Amino acid sequence: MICDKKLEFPKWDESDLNSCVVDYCVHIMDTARRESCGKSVLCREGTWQAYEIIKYIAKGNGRSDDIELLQELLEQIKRHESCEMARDAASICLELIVKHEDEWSKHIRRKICSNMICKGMYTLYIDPQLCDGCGLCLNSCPSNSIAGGEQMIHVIDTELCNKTLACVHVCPKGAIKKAGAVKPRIPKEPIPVGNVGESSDEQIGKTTRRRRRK
Amino acid sequence: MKKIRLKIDGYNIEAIEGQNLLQAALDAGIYIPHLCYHPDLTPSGSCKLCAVEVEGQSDIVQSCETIVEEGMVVSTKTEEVNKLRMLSLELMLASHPKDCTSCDKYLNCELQALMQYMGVSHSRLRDIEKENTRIAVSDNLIKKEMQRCIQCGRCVKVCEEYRGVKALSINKKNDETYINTIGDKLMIDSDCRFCGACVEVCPTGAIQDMKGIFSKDSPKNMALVPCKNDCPAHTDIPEYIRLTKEGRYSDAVSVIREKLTFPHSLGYICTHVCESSCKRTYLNEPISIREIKKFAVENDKEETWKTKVKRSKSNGKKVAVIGGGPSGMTAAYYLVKKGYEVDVYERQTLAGGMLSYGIPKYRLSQKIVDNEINILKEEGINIHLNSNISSLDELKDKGYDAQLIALGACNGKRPPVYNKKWLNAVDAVDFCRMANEGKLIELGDTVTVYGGGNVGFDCARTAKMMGVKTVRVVCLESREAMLADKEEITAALEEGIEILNSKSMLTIEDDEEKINSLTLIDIKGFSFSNKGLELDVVDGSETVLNTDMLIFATGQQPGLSDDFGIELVKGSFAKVDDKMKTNIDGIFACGDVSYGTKSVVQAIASGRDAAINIDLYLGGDGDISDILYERQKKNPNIGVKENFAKLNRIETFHNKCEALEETDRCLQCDLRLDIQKVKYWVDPHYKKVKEVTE
Repeated sequence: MICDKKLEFPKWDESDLNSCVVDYCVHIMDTARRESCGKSVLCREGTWQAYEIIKYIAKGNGRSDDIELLQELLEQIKRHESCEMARDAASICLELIVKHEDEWSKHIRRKICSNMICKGMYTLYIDPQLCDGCGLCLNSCPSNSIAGGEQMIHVIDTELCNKTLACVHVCPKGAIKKAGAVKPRIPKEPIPVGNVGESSDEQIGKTTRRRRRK
Repeated sequence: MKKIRLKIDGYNIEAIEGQNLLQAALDAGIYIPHLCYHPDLTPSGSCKLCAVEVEGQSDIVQSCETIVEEGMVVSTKTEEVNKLRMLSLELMLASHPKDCTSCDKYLNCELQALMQYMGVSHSRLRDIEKENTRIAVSDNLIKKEMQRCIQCGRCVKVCEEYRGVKALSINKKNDETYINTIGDKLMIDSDCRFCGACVEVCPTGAIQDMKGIFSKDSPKNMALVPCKNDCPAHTDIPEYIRLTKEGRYSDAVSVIREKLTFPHSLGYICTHVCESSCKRTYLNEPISIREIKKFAVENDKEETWKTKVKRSKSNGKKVAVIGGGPSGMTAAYYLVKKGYEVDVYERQTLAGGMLSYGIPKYRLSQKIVDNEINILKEEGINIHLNSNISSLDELKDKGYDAQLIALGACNGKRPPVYNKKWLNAVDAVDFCRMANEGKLIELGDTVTVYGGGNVGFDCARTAKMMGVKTVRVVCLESREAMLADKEEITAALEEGIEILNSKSMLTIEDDEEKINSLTLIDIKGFSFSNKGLELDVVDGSETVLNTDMLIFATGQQPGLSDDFGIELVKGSFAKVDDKMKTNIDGIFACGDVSYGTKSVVQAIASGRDAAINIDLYLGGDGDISDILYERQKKNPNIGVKENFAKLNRIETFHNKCEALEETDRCLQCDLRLDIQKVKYWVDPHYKKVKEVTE
């Protein structure tokens, strides 16, 4: 016996719309690799590799053969690793890959996370209808990716945004929202509050071309 | 040992009961890949490479962790097994650097060999960058490139369970495991004993010997023990240091006697190249090997070696040895033991050569030399004293089957411009001989010694002890680069001898018969080219020194002339081939007369070689080896010694306690040789399976 580590992993609540199966698996594998005592290769390197692959998928960088590779890796850990913790983590993820194959496939092929949890799969934007230019979000952003000023509608630079979601939590108006593949029409630069008409609101999400991709 | 039978990949093989399956397969010539497994360490089954399937068991097992059973049927290459192995190796490679060619272990790396065996390269998996690989640092002895570490755990295991040291462990920082000393201490602050076991078992280039510590010209098993390798006689130094530590002085002397004929004298005056190459030098200071030898010899009351000496029956053949110095006496001793009748011709009234006539008595007493010569003589050597042989013709009709010229280098050698007979100038070798004979001339108030080697200091210190007021040593070298032993220089300075460094003699002012003064010039550097000595002088730095006596300690050469009857080289040296033969059949030469002034221990080694070569020439087997101490299995468990890396050298021992402390400082480099070698899959051992028939 190499190691008698045991760990109670938190259960995943399928019905929770604020969670994602891929994101959950990233965390499980991250926990497992960090807890590894380092003695056994499948535990030490295996869980790290699994974490690394799932992280790529969550970031939108998944490759078409990743699911196959991941399944093989997790299967080997589950069957041959002597560490119970690593085995448990592998079986949990393995089960979720099989059960939620569609969601994993969406992540890899279409870069879509249904609940917009995986950070590579959405962008943040400030709804110009709701923003009152209070400036709280601007100060909360650790990467300084929000532009704006007094009485100006704030704008997020999605290139710089690290999605810490700090702004989402401080905004008193709930103006900061997530956008998936379909991007809303928003001002490119800060404009004075109130300069956005009702009509433009209706355009959001409707004028963009529907994309069909397998 | 009960043998049991099993079947692996269709081969019927035999294994020892209780053995693990992997070792059984390897022993039988069936290769199963493995990495974390090492035959000297407890298996842990962590690398998954030695996976196999055993009939009747549903799961794959690790063969290193499986004990063999009668009738077992094993498959080592099933699809399932291959899948697990491949993946495991790929996982290890995901964080391993890909620049194999820049690694010093390139082409001598277990990991690389495994990649070749399994046809795995870095491919499907994501590269993983590890952060903690920079924590462990190299030191003077061990080079760490931990980015190459695959955490197989062998180093940790060998340190803990095999050596009983436990300096290494799997550490964790920022949730990433890595291998380093416990508590991330520097190795010199840890319990590390610098035994090199971790280097030996590391399958990759992560832990290596620092470059330059071991000689590249010698085979690995010699190079790894630098003291023994560099000793001209290859004395088993670590072994006798251990025996001395245990207080087994007689056994220690037996080990020394296997190779050396004048151990007691060497204990005083050996030039100890062993100490210069001692691995501990890289840590702080070398072990006082010479002092340990002396201590063992002086405390050996039983002299058990004498009862174990190998002696052959008389073979009726006669050998003459010309010269009774260390080299000639050594050759004579081994030839007598091989059954030859040996006559030694010594021109002086005492045998011992430079031991009797070169080395001052304050460094080595005549009693010790005489005693050691008597020990050799007791074997049955006929020593003819006061017998100068100036030509081979003198021995022509005496019926010798072979003759050995061991005349040493007993003439002084001056820079050619100073080859003039002054009344108050003398060569160091003559000065030492006269001093030892008690026939010294009047020295005057000031004596200048030209030359800063050990012989120069012998002269200077002798002169000082005889009451000369001012004694100076003039030498070309700077103080740091001086050739003499440090302890000689220190002692000379304490005695009030002046040392003038980085100076060369420009001219000698004389009145035909007598030297009046010398003109010296400062030099920035010097070199020897084929044109001779070349100096880089400081212009205008001339100084004039008055002196009553000038001693040339600038080298020695043999006194052979063409009349002797053999071909010479470089004026007066005997010309020998690689079998130590001169141009005349049956005439050999050894020691200084054949290679120039070196050391007593070199002369002894040369004397041994001469005995071997003469024996072979006269139809013998050339085997002069003695086993005077039956080696026991060495205990690999060296345990912990507090502050090990910082223990300071004890130069001279006044009691057993100090001797014990000094012997404890030894790194015991030879223990590393006992660690089993891992055979690569290409090893001839795996070319054919050792099958047993039903």
